[in-house]
Amino acid sequence: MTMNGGDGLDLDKLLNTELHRQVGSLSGPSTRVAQSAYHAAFLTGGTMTPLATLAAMASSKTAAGLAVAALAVGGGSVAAAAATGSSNPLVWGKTVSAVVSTCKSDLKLGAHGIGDCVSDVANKKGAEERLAHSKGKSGQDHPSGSPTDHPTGAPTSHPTSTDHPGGAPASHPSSTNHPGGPPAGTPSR
Amino acid sequence: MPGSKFVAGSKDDFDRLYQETYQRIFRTLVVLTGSPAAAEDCTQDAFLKAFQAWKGWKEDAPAQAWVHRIAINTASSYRRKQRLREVGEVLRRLGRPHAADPTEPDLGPDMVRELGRLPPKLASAIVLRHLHGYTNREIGTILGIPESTVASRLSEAKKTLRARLGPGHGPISDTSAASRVSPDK
Repeated sequence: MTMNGGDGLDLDKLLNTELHRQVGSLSGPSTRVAQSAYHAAFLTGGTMTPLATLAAMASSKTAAGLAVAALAVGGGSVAAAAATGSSNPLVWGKTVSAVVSTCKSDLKLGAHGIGDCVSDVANKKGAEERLAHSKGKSGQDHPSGSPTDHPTGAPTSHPTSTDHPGGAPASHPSSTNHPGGPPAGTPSR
Repeated sequence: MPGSKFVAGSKDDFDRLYQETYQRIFRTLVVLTGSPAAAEDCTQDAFLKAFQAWKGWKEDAPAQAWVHRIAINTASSYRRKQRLREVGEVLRRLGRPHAADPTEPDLGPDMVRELGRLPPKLASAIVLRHLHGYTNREIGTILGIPESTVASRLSEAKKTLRARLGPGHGPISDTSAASRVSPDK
């Protein structure tokens, strides 16, 4: 159906061409589920804290905000620890800030894709840190030396599982008692 | 409109719904809000609302249409709030010229801007038809209105656009320029 009002304006054709030309090629910045606000809410237990919401609603910086929110909010601690290779929230914050800054400087003004950039860099950094951490544990990088160089002492002075303060971390959150777990009203897998 | 099967409440299915519909909804909201940044905010907000209501989704309407409707309603709310903010801005500026936001990309002349000035219920019908190519029936499903109402909204929207754009608009009008009388003469 064309709507030519007798004034030479073929409005249907004009609407088709102009909308496709101006909007048809636009692409939103948060194409991946991991960059979406609902997924961040899901990770944080179905609700977003005011801080996370503010970060997520920060206009074109949404994707970066979500990365920060997902890492900063308690419920996302597993993801944050996995991404940064550290269980220390201060490290997550520093890592994410550094990653976002790097991505911002890499992207041209107004360009989309900061979410992808943040995600990629965070994953890479997390992998590097985990690798370094695991190497440290395996002892391969430990300085070698004769056993006599090691400090000696009575075995009784070594900490044991029985005299470790606090013992096993019984109060650590688990999947069943985690305060940020999915609420009853939130869809689950 | 894709006929994918979805299970209400399934996170995996909602993820799939997001991936299938995100770009289409984002583009609809760019026109309704007039700004890619606002469109992204509204899109994310809409998917968040949809996710919270996902358990209650009924198969009587396609999931894609359902989430599109939530998004259009979200954009309409945004527009109402934006108008209130603009009234405040006008009062604050008191006649000072409005400076364009340099971080906002120029969406081009006339058409998208004029669509953004239409009431959301009219603009959304135009976008669903002319950008996404939905039929009146599909538009009716998305907007939750009868087909006849879709037709009348499309007609009203075009009448308003025609009056605002006028005969001097864009490349189409050039083809018939010779038959018109120049306003200067």
